[in-house]
Amino acid sequence: MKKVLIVDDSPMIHTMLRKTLVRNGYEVCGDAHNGREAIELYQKASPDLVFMDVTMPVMDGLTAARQIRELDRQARIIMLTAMGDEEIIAEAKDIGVAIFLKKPFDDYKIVSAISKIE
Amino acid sequence: MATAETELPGDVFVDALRETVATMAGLTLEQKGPPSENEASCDCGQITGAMGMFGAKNGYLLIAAEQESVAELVMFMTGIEATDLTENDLCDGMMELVNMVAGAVRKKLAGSDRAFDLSSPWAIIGLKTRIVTKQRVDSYSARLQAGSIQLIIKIIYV
Repeated sequence: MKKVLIVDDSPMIHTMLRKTLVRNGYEVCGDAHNGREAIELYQKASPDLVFMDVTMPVMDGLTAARQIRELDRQARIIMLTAMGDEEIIAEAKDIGVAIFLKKPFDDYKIVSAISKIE
Repeated sequence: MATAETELPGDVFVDALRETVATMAGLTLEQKGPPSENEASCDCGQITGAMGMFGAKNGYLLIAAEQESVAELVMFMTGIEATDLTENDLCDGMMELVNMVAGAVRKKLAGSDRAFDLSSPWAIIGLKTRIVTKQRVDSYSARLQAGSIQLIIKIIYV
């Protein structure tokens, strides 16, 4: 079973993503609410995949994604955000983020994104 | 008098709200009555999600509802029974809703004279809250409904 780390400052998004992931056979191995927690949990749990929000307190998702990719060049990260600025998308690509998804999302959008990088 | 280019694009906000609720909760919002423009005050129910919009014109986006409507909406989004949702869950739901709507509109209006950056979302909680603005501010509000869920969307430029 593939392990997924969810990083978002909204508990509702954690609940929705967890529901979708578990229903589709994934294990949620950690819930982080900011970028700093994401880096700590990534090192502890070694997830196969990370769902990462962009705008969060303490440390934003782009900074966390960059640091995670520095720790592990094989890290697979899907950005999931309400903000779709071209500059943010370009920076995410530069970091090596696998897929950039815009909120709102449904099950199909999430599962399709995962299948593209598996 | 406002030109076509500078008219407040209320429909763009309403469409984004409809699309967000349809995607996240599987619900179809119908507009309840005609939208109101330049309304000086507006009943807002118990929980309001809000964000600041900063650009050539500064303003606020607000989405508001009674607690029961918010609970039902968040229940459809998360699958958690409405009676098990805490006040924090409801506020988080409204903040995330307004965040997604504002993000979608921001992308659509990029490059126009209504282009804007966003603040973090926040929530206002209280019984029978009302938003009151000065007369003749540039504003738009609409009421939408899906079954027993009723939402008010209001955009105010200050």
